[in-house]
Amino acid sequence: MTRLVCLAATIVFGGLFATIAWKILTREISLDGILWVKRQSLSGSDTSFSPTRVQLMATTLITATYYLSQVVHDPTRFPSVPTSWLLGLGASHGIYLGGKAESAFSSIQNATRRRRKNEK
Amino acid sequence: MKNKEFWASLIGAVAIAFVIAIWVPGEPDKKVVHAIEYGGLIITFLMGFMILTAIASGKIDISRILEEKSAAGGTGSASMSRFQLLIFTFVIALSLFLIVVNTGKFPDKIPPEVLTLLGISATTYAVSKGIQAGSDQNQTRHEPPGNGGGDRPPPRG
Repeated sequence: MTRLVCLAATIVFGGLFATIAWKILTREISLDGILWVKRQSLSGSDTSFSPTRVQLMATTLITATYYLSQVVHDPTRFPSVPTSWLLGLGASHGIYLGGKAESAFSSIQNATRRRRKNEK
Repeated sequence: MKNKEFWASLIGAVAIAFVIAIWVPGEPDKKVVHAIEYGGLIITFLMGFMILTAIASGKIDISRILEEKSAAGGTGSASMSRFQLLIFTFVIALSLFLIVVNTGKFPDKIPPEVLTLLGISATTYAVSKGIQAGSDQNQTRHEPPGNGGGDRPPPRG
């Protein structure tokens, strides 16, 4: 019975992971623009490459790979994550959010300036 | 009979339960337990499988699962916060699954590091969503009329 449950769960969960991975690889789930940030400039809307997104992407992938490798190495318990890793991850997310907030703030400022300019 | 797969799974589960109850040798009380266990397993598995096939075939559309809505309400670009939440959810789910399969039981306690990891990830998503909503609202308010929000998705590729 336990083997049957494991088999059923492996098919369903493995299938779900595989389906989503497949859809991302075939671009059915689009990752377009994930490393780009859109801003409102004085002349209109423009997009630019975002280093804060790149560092978050790198941190996410590194942490996820590290964690999974630990679990695969000893699949009997949750691995312990060093506090430094958690701090690093938190800092990375903070940088991303800071960048996003700055981008949003400057977009609002530019939109306001543009509107005032148009009103004149 | 709108959903054929659902009825097929239900009839299959009941049939297996009958087979166990009538033809499998053993004590009646254990046979009842086995019939319920196998019936429950079949129903749960087929329900999961139905959802999986619906996702794979596109009947359940998840193609915009990583997309952020634009200010004008149209399709936006992929969201980094959604992506990292998806990755961490999968990593923790896969870890839990591997642990349960290997030990044969649910872990006694979930370590606080795991909860912190998921907490950081989910909080980032929520805050990012808040910033995006605030920014969209302000930009729409300040956009000149007839500009449609001036919102275009970034270049593809």
